[in-house]
Amino acid sequence: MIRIENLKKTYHAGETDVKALRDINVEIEKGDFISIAGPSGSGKTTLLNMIGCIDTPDSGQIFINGKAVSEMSNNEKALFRRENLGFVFQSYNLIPVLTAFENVAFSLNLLGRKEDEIKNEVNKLLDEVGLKGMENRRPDKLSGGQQQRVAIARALIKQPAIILADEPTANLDSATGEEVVKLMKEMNRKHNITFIFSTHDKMVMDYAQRLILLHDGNIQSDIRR
Amino acid sequence: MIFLIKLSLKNLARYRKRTAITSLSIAVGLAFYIFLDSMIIGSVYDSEKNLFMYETGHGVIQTEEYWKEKDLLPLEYSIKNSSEITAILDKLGVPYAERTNFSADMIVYKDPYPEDGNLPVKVTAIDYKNDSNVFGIGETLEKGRFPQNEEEGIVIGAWLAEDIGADIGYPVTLVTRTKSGYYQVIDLEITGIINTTNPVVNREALLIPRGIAEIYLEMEGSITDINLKFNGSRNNSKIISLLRKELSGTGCSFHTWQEMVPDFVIASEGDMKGSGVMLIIIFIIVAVGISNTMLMAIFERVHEIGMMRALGMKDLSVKWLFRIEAAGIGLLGSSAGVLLGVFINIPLIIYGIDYSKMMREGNYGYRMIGIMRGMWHAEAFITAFFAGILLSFLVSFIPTRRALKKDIPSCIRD
Repeated sequence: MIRIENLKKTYHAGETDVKALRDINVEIEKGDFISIAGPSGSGKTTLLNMIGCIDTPDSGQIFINGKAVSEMSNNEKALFRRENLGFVFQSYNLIPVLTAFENVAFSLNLLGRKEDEIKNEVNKLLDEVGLKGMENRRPDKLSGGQQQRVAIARALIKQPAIILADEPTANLDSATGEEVVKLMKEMNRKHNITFIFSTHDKMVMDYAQRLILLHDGNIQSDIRR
Repeated sequence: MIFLIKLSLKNLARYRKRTAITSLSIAVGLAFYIFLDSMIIGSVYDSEKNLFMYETGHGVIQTEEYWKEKDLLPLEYSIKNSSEITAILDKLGVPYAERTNFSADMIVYKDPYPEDGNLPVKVTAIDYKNDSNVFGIGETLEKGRFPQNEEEGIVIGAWLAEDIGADIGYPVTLVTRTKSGYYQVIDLEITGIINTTNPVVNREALLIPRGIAEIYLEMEGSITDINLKFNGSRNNSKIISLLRKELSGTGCSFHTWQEMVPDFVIASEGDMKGSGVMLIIIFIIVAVGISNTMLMAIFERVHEIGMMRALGMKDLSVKWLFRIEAAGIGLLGSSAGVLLGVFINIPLIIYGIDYSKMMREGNYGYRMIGIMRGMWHAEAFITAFFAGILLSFLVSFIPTRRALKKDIPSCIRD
């Protein structure tokens, strides 16, 4: 489903070159639940950004469902992300002026879905992620765990091929973090959506069926469980 | 697009105070423009009315030579064939008033006046009955009466009377020249004082009967001016072109009221331009305000912008999101500005602003005394409303470009 070939990325900070990804080669299957782990600066976020088509590699290729996404124009990438990718961010990144319902509906609005369809699907999913009765709450009236659930629902609602989550539990306490990972795992099983998430957290890694460990921009280990 | 509009409107409500302050600044600016425009339009309208009523009518017929040297009031170039001209006007159905303007030195002596003095003046000889075909002088008598046609009486403007300390029954001596150029002295008695709504008339008017001018100036039936009044439109182009055609070959020509009072035309046009400049200044202030507000909104929402782009929102849609927001602020500001303009305009139209002291002291070109009243001017309201929105929308283009300057990972990271 995802094939990454010889992926390299270097960031330039003044006169210093930081090699974020040195030569990454990896294949990911549909329905995988993958954790990308590694210390800070190992290239986890960069790799997720590359797969998520929001960053461009210096060299190498990324194929998603056979399409070379790194060669797409910005508009093509935006459309590709809209239809095929879901994102969960560390700091949730919900739109503060929208309710939980509207935040989840945002992805479907971008796809131009009809109001009735949006209403049914969003309510169903909010129920599924345990947010029934909180549809009309704005993010500031939700706990961190609830906000992350909204973010997961927002990523899931369009039934994307892949959901990318950058340290989704980093801002949560361990119990809430585990709940969120359990939810992601459940959704992965139920909807057969590929989940790729970066983490530092050992507990979160334990839930992954595949663990890719990065170190200094290289894959140090790739363990399938 | 509907989704973008909804989201933009929610964002407007998100920064209530900022939106309110920016909208208020737009509103105050536009209301000020509406106020200024209303004052100028009102003053111009009143002035034009007072010009037509007491000074110029809608235009004048003079001999071509007289027009060329009109500032000297040369009696030798007066209209000799006035009956031929008035026949044309009768045929065309245009009301007219025949007048003779001449220059003189007005001399007054101590007792009954407070002191001796003389003053260069312009005197107008009118036929009081015929004059009312065009002018409204007849209804402005404050004191006394108009003299009979061959009575040696004079009517003067109220401000002039006040300035020289004149009253009814006071003698006035005019030293002038006849049509043939001989010196002539005319002794007259003040029979009336007029108080019009035209400051120039109040300050300068000296009206004598045409019969007296005929005798003392040896006019031999000639006159210097035939003032006209057009029914309906003040610039009745159809009648004017017919009239000009008819006048060809008579030695006389028609001149519009605008040509007669260039001082007023210059003053009003200058003020109109001034209000345009004011509008530009207001717009610059509005542009800076909107630009600043949008920049703040964009910098505060870098994360959000990154997230929306990551979720697949196109860059153009992000731009539109902020442009609609800016236009929304413009809409709020413009609506409030128009509303405020209406509220300011109502007392301005009903009560006006009293500039009587200023108008009494000097000549500003405007022909109005005392109260300066505003006027409803739909064009100003429409201009202010749409320009406010359009400008807000346009100035947001620059800050929204900044929203997309950063790449998505940087937006999410920062």
